Amino acid sequence: MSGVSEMTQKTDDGSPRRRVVVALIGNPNSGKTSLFNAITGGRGHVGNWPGVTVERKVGPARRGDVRLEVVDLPGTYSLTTFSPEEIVARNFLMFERPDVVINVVDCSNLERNLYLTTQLLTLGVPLVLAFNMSDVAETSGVRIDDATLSALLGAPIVHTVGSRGRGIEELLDAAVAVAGDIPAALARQHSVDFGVELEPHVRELTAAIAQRDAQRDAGVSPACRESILPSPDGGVDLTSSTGKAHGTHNAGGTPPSRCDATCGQCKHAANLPITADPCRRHHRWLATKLLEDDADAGELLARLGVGEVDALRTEAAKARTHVERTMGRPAEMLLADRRYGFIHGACSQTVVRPDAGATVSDRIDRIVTHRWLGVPIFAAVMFVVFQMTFMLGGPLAQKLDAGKGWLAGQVRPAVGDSGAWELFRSLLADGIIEGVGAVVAFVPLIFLLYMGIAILEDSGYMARAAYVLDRTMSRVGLHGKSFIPMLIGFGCTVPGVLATRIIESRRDRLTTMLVLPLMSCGARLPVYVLLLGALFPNRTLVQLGPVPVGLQATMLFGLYGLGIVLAVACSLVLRATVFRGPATPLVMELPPYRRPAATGVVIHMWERGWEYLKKAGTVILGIVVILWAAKTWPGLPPEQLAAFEERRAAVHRSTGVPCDAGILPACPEGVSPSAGGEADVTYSINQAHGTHNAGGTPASRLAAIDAQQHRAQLEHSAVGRLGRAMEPVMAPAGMDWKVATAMLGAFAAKEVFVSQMGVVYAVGDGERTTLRQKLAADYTPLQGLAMLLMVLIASPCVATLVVTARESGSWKWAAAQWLYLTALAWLLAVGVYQVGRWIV
Amino acid sequence: MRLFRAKDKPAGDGVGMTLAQALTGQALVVSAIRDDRRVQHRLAELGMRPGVRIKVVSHDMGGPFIIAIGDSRLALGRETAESIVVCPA
Repeated sequence: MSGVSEMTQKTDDGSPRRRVVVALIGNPNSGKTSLFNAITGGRGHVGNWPGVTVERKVGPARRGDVRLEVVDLPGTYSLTTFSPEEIVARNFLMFERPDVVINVVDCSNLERNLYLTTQLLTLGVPLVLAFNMSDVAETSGVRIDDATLSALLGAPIVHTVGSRGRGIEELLDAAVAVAGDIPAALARQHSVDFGVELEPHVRELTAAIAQRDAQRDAGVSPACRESILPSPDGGVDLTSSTGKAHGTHNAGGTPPSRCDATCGQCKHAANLPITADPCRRHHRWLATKLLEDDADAGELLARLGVGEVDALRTEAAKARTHVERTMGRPAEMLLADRRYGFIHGACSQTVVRPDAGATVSDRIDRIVTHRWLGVPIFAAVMFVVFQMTFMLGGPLAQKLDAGKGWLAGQVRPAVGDSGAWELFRSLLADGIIEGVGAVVAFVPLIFLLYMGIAILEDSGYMARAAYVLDRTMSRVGLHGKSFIPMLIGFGCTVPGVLATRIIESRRDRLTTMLVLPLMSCGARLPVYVLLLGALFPNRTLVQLGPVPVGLQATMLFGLYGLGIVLAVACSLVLRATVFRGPATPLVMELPPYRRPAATGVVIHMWERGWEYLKKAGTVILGIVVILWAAKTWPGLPPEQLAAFEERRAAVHRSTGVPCDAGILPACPEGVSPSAGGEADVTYSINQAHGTHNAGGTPASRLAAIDAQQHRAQLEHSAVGRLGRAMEPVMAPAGMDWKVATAMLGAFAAKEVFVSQMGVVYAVGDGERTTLRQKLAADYTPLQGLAMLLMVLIASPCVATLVVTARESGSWKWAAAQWLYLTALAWLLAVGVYQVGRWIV
Repeated sequence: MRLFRAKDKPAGDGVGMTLAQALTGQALVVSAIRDDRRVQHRLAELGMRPGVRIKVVSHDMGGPFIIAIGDSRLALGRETAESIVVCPA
């Protein structure tokens, strides 16, 4: 994306060529993302916990003849350097200079939300305030005197309801107007006066920074320098001289504190690009950062080209010491106090709100976060999500899978063909269609699961889940916040690892990263569904009213649960050994419960689902082709090929002779109804007519010979050899070389297990039977259980390892992650299989 | 047992009472926060700072607390609650 803001130009001839970069900033849960969706008409993502929108998003919009580029900054409470979100947002505002900043404010929680606004005012960016969720505020009886509040802050206020797209046009009009005359907008805005104790220090530091700012000398007049200081009425005036004369925009300021091109002293100002805008240098804000002893203050100053940073630091340290000695409290606390004081003053004049007792959210929370009920409710909620996913998605997935089988059957080469064309058709049918098709078939399930997670997020329940689990997590030495990356990990481990950034403590972060792969990601779902569907009967265990509780759904739930239990156990061990130390405290906002907006949920679901599909379309395709090649070469030696040809010729010669198992040992396996057929009744309907007819027809005997040849070919190939090499290790867990081969594929990406199984079996049989039937014929439920354990625990995918290495800063941790998980998986699978065999 | 002691001795009678000792539904005023600077600053930014009126929405024995500050609801771990000195409103 192009984050660099182009100069906003109102061309004199009025041609419709304006492009305005709009930044959206606001607290987490302020409805910022739904507003972004409403403005851009999609391509957004609504979340209810901190850390979801780590990446900033960009979307196009249009208002009249103006093209807008809307940048969705991560949700932040402040502009300090506590979290990566804050740093991302701050750096964008400072160094990429959007033409207008829309500050999204949740007006049902005005005072806390305006804290960020005070920082934006001090920073000095052209602001428009979107008072979002004004419907919620109105319902609860909040009345805001917009005109007065707008005047007090010096920025336009527009009421919006992002989830319903209300107020968007007015908001964009206001944004375009502000972007059209940035200097005037900045001149109107008021900054916080930090009071008699702090304000002199802030001003001194501001002047000191301005003095050392090299850019200042690029053509800023002394009057302009003055303008960085607050005007006598306490508000800061930040006016600039970009472009041409904007006419008068005095707003009652004193003449010496104004700067625009008309003052004639800023000689180069008219030629300066906006990035060197002499009056948007954030000097006053940097002064507050220096006073706060912000870790990044020095770096920011240096990046802006301000010299003698160390001298400034020394000066700031002196001021800090002075303030702390005289006031008895650190400067950053006093600054925060003054900001809240400013907000409180403004709101007490302009906002009327009923003295609400316990809100609906509080009443729900009393039950949902209850000491004893909290965890059972959490478990029940997750169970409902999985049950819904399985019930609605299962039949759809089966239809898609059957469709894929049909498609592959259409292009699958006829028996005995050869040559380059044959090779291509094999690639198409056995590689691409089988491989990608198998993944695509699970899209309904993935989408439904993502939808469930989106609903939980948007309703506000996810934060409660983190709260409820904090007790458990703190016993493990982590806090509830660590559960958020893990919850994301249910979607995909990779963003989960990225989301560990919200955890401040490195020990907690590394622990969370190492156990994250135990959260069953979306990619593992297709594998679970395949193995559960193939090897376990879809029996109804209990009938809960109209909802049947199936064995498969229960087992799926159990797998997810087992992952959580193992994650807890592993972090307990890690925290007691490698990462010993005190736990970090939990501090987290609980957003009020809200009814999730359908569009938000759909967009959310679509974005994540699309990521999965893209992966299936690109990475998986590449892997599938590589695996196809690995199972195609090296080919069988000519004498074996000749032997198979001879047997085919024999069948042709003896047309009509019944099948003889002694001559064609593969016949019963390839053709007869599979032993596990009844386990998959609904599934086999599509195939029943094609497969289960007389076992002795010449066609079926030819197919059986094909099966044997393909199996021989596979065993001869690179993949087969590697799988065979692994067999001695896998055998104690009840797994053969085929499973080992699929596991090799799963290392690339978990869902490849499914497509690899598809390829392995497509090779083993030319018939149009589904993968599930073939699996049911080959493996017992006990073997299935061992496989499920391996898929859950063993070997995180390559992407996870790469991200873990990058985020932890060392391949050492990625290697540790792979080793301990694989060892754990093997031990558990072997244990379950051996004990199970002994019992059964 | 901690659970009974907390109930036997009604919270809010002492001067040096911490948030961790407060009961559900109790209205309080924050008088000081004894935590490291970073946590203090973070809490202040979220509205938890000396002089502010808060209310305990719910808390688990030994578990996290839900605190109402104006219209916000803040979840705090026990250690953090122990570092917040309060007096009854």
